Amino acid sequence: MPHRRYILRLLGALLVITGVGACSGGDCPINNTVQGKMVFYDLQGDPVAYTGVLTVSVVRPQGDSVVLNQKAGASEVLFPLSYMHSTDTLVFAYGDGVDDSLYISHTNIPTLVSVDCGTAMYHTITAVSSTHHWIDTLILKSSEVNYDERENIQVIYR
Amino acid sequence: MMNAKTFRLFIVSLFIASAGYAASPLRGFYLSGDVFGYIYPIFVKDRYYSSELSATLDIANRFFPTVEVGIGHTDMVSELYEIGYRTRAPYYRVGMDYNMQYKSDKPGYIFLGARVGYTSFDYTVDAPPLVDPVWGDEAPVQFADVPCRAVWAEAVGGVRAEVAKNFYMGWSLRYKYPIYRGPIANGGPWYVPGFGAGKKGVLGATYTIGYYFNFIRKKP
Repeated sequence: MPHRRYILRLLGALLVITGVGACSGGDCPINNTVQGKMVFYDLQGDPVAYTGVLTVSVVRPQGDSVVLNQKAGASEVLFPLSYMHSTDTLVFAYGDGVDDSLYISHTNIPTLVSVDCGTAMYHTITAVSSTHHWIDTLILKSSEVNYDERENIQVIYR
Repeated sequence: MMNAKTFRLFIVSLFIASAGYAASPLRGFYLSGDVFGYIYPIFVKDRYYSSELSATLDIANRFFPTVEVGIGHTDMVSELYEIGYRTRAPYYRVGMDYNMQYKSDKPGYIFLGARVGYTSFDYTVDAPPLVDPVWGDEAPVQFADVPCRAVWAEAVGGVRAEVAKNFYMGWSLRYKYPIYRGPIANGGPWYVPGFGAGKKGVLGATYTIGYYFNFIRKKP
């Protein structure tokens, strides 16, 4: 019966298409590091680069860890947040003997990305503050810290 | 890509169109079981499984309202990251198929259709601890019996063929699109019973074997 043969051929074609679909992979994030992002601005709200040499460290009980080492012309900083603490301190050393300390309060969210892409620690920033040697203000732009690397904090310089 | 609004319009238009045929006598009734959930693990090991039953009315050989009930489950540990994921729950779908060959009286047909799916389930994740690369701390990644509900839409296409008197088998290929999933905690679920694995649209399939109860008596 031609009609039945036609239907059975379609059944076979769908089997092949379904097999191809079943083999398609997942979509893991391109980045593999969860970091926050600070971007520098002047008082007028325009993006600005620090003209001198900038070193950024995170303060840890076992000693500071450098996340940006004597970079000239820095206009942004990517920074880690701790997995088990609720407030982290970052030190901005400007090279002229003057430092600013930044205090970032956050919650920690252990996250299942997928069983094929692994797990990650995401964060939600709840508050930011700093000393004011060169920094005028910190503005919390986006509180979510994940693989997206979006601008989290605006650092307004004097 | 079919969004949620387009899908709702499609479903409503199918029901409105079928209303005109409501006065027509029912021609029959399909009762089917999906065995794809048993075939799939032969090719893809240690993943998820499902078993499903469906009931389908035959209205004027053109509209086929369908109810599908199944159980989806997984209890696996991923090889690469050693993440354990466990869940088992029923799921439900309602929708309708449209026979593209409704003018033909021959057995078997090609159809397009749509479904809305729903499930309420708990899932458990047991993963190795996350090691903080800067501070050196270890953070546990274990979530036990996390409750979640999910609603999704499906666009369906397939065929159904008579293989023996009143016995049918059929394939359907489905594109599933999430409408709602929540509450989302710790990244949300990876596998959702009835939907599959993934947070965006996914492809799915059914391979059904069933029996057709014919309501129309042929004249001698």
